[in-house]
Amino acid sequence: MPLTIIAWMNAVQGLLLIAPNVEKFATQVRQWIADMFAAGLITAETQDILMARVDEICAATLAGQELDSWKVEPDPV
Amino acid sequence: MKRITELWFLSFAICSVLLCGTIGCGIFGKGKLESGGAYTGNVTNAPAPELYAIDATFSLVHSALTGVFDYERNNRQALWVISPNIKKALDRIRVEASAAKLQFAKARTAYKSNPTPANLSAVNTALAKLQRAQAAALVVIPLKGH
Repeated sequence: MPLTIIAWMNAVQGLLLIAPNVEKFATQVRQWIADMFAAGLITAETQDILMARVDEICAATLAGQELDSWKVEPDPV
Repeated sequence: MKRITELWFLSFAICSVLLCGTIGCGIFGKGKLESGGAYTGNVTNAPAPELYAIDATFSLVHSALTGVFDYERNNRQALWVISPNIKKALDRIRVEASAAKLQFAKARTAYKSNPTPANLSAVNTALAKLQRAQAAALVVIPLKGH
């Protein structure tokens, strides 16, 4: 069963590798997969990075800040 | 070209849903949190595996949503010609996702300071809304906004 899961996750990684415009997303995914399924240990560094990222997003959201692409903008003319 | 874009988004959608679903399985099934990290009691009093699973899922969902919103914004003119419904549908999702993200941020803050089952439930409720928004956003372009 674990081998099946690993093979399946490798397939997903392969799909992500060929997907353009999602390098950051794919890098995060690969890092987490490596942490969780290969080493079986989520390092302190990985934890710190994730906590900082989510804290930053939440703080910005609570402060009323939003990414430009998340905002509703006028329709093209 | 449109076919490739549709296939890419469908693959992206499937991968995202599967990955978000397996993050929690990995944490609770095999993964261990190294001591000294942000989720092992130094920064928060919240139970480590639960908060890590929540944050990992949120991070992936947020990245996926941002990817779709960025793609539409960067290619707005071209997608508008294909179908105005794409932007209109994504605009509705933008509103829902922003509201869910604000709800998540408030609930997570409350859970970190006071990790009760009720606060955990509130975080998961907000996260589920974001996941629904993500799932909806990822199929907007392949379905041309319908």
